[in-house]
Amino acid sequence: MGDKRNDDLAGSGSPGLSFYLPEVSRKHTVLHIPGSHTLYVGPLSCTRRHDIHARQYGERKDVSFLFISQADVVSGRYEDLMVESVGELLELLDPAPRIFQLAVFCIDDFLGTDETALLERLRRAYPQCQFAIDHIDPVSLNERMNMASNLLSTQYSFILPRAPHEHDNGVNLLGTFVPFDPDCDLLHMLAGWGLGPLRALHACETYEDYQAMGASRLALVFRLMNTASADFMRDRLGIPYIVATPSYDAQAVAHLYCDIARELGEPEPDLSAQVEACREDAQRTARLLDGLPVAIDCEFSLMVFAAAKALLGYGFNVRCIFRSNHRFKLDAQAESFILEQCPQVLVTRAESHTHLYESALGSDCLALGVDCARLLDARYVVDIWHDEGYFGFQGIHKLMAAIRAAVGKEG
Amino acid sequence: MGQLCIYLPPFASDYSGVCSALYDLGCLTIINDASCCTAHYVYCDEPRWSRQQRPVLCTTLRNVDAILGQDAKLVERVCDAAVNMDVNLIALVGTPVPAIIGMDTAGIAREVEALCGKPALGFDTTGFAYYDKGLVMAGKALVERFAERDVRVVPGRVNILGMSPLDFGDVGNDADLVTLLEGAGIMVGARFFMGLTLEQLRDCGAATLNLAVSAAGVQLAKYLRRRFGTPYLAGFPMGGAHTQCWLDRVKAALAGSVPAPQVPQAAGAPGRALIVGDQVLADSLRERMRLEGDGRGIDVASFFAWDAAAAQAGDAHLANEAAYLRLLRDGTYDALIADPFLGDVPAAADLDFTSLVHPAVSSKLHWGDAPRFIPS
Repeated sequence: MGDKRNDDLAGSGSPGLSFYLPEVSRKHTVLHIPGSHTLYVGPLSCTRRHDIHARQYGERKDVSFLFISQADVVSGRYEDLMVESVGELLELLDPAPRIFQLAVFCIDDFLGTDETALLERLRRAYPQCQFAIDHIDPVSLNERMNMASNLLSTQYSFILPRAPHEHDNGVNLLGTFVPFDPDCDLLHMLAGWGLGPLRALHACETYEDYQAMGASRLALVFRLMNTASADFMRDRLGIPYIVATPSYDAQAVAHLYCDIARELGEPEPDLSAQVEACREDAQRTARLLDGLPVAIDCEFSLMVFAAAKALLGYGFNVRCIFRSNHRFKLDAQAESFILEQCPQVLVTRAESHTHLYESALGSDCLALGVDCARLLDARYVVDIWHDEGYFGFQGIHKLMAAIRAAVGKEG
Repeated sequence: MGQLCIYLPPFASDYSGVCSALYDLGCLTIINDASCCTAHYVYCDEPRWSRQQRPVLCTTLRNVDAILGQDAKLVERVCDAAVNMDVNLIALVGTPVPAIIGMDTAGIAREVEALCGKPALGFDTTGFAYYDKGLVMAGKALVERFAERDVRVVPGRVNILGMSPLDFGDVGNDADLVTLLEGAGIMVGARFFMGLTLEQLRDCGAATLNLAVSAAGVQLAKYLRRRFGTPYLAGFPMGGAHTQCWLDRVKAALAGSVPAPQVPQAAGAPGRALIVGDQVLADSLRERMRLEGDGRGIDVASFFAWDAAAAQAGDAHLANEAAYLRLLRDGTYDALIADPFLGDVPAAADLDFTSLVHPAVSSKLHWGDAPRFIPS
C-alpha cells in the first residue's frame, strides 16, 4: 500500500525522477481571451512548445515571443525589454490588442522581478491596454501551489464588474474546455431553474462575449484550479460560485444539485431515483467485470482518489491508483480513505520512472486512462481525459457503458 | 529589437541537442528541470520518442531544491535509477534554472560517478542556446571521455559526424547514408549521432576521414582534426548526380587527394533563390541544384552553426527574426527554400516557396515530412 519507492511525496521539494510517455494525439482547447495577445518572455527553450501548440490550434497570430539572453538576466534589461516589446507589438499588430498577457517562466522566480512596478510601468506607457502577468513556473509547484490556478485566474481578471441590475440569469462555467453533452442532466437542471445563458471562456468568440461573463448570476467551478478565478468573480464581480467538480459517486452528484438549488433559493430536488439508477448500473457493471483488477490514472480524473473510492463502493476491484504530483485539497479525504481503509490498493506516482522497470499491476486489468494503460500494457482500456465529457448522473451511466464496451460485456 | 519573435518559432535548444546526441548510447539522461524542458525534448525535439523511448528522466526540480542545493538527494536518486535500469552511461543535463543559479552540473555528475561507479557526464546546457551547440558539446564530451588516444588509422574508414534527427528527421537518412557508403566499398566507423555505440566511440580516432554532414558536424570535425589529425569533408549526398559527385569527392579524399570542384557556378539565369537551413545541408542542396542546371544565383542562410570559411558571397549567418525578415524584404530573392515555418511569414508571401523541413525549426508539426535526400 502507498508505494512511494523512489518518490518523496511528502516533502516540498522534487517528488522524484519523472518519465514522460509519448504524447497521445488529442485535441486540446487553448483558452484565449478574444482581443488579447500573449507575449511569452523567457529563454528560447522555455517558449518552444507554446509556439508549436499555438500553431497546432490556429492561435499563432495571438502570441509572440521575447527571447531573453543570459546577458539580459545579468544586466537587468529583462524588464526594459518587455516594455519595449509591447510597444513594438502595438505598432505591428493589426488590430492592436486590447489586452496583453505577459507569460514568464521558471527563471523569473529567481530574478526578483517587481511585478507590481512592471505592471504600473506598462499601464503608464500604454494606457489603452490592460495587462496581466502569468507565471508558467512548474519549479514553484508544491503541495500548496498550483501553477494552473494562477494562470486561469488571470484569464478572467479583465472582466469588468456590472451594476446589480445588469446581472442576468447567466451561469459562468469555469474549467470547461468542451461543451457538455446535450443530454447531460446538469443542463436540464439549470434550465429547469430558469438559468441561462451558459457562458464559458472556450465559447467566447468576441471581446463582448468575454465581458458578458460579468453579467452572470452564478459560476460553477468544474476544476479545482479554477477556484482562484471563482474567488475573483465573487469578490470583484459579485458572482457567487459553487464547486461542481465531476464525481462518479451518485450521491455526491445529488448533493451538488441540492447545493445549487439552495444557492438559487429553489426547493431541493428529489433525486433518489436517479441515484438508485446510477448505483444499479454501476453495481451491475462491477459484477460483469467479475473481479477484474482496475487501475485508475490521474489522466482519467482530476479527483482520482474520489473516483477510485466511488468505484470501490460500487464493487469494482480497484487495485492501483496512478496519482499526480499535485494533491488537491478536495481529494484529500478520499485519499486518506484509500490509504487507510484499502490496503489492497497500490498508490503510485503516475510519472515515476520506476514504472520503466517495475510493473505496478499485471496487464490483465482494466485501465481507466491511457497513460496507465500503456504503463501496464493493460488488456482493457477506457480512454477518458480529465473527466472531459463525463458529468452528473449521465456521466456515471456513460462511464459504465464505456467500461462495458471496453471489456466487451454489454449485458 | 532583435529578440522579439513575431512570426518565427523558438528553435530547438542546446539541451535537446545533447539529449538527442546521447539517444543511442544506452544512456540514463537526467534533465535537471521542473517538467517543461524534458517535455520540450521528448515531445518537440525527439522524433524517435513515439517509436522507442529511452531512459530520459526529469528531476522534477522545485524551488526548494534549487535554493537549498539538495544535490545529495539528486545524486542518490540518479544512482538508484542507474542501478535499476542497467545503463552504460549517465548524463546530467542543465536547463535555464540551473544555469541562472549557477548549479555545478559537472560536479554533480562526478559525485554520481563516484557513488555508483558508472561513467557520468555533466552538461552545462542553459536553454539559451540552439541545439547545434548541444550536439557539439555532447560529441566533444563523448570523445574526450571514451575515445582511445593511441589508435592506428584504418585506411578507407570514415566517421559520420553531425547526423541528428533535429536536422535530418527520423525518416531513414542515416541508414541511407551508411548503405550508400558501404555500397561504395567505404567502411563506416563511428556514426555521430544516429547509430552511435560506445565501441564506435572508443575507436573513432582510427578513421581516415571524417564526413561532416551538418554544421554541427563541421564543428566536431574541426575538434577531431585537432585531436587526432583526421581530415574532414563537409557535405551530404542530396540525390541524383550530386550523390555520385559527393561519393567521388569522398573517395578522392580517402585517397589523400583534393578533387577539383565539379560543381558549375551560377550561370546568370534570371532570379535568385535563398536556401535557409543547416549550412551544410543547404550548401549541398545548392550544389545539387547547380549540377542539375539551375543557373540562378543561389544563396544560403542559417540561424545555426556557421562556418564562415565555407560560405560563398551572398550567404548569410542570421542573428534573429529581424535579420531574416530584412533579408527577405530587400528584393534580392524571388524564391525561398526553407522549413514551412520559415515560409509562413508575410515577407515571404510573394516568393516562390519550396519546403525543406528542418525538425529543429518546425518540430513535430512537420518532422514526418522531412526529406529523404538519397533516393533508395
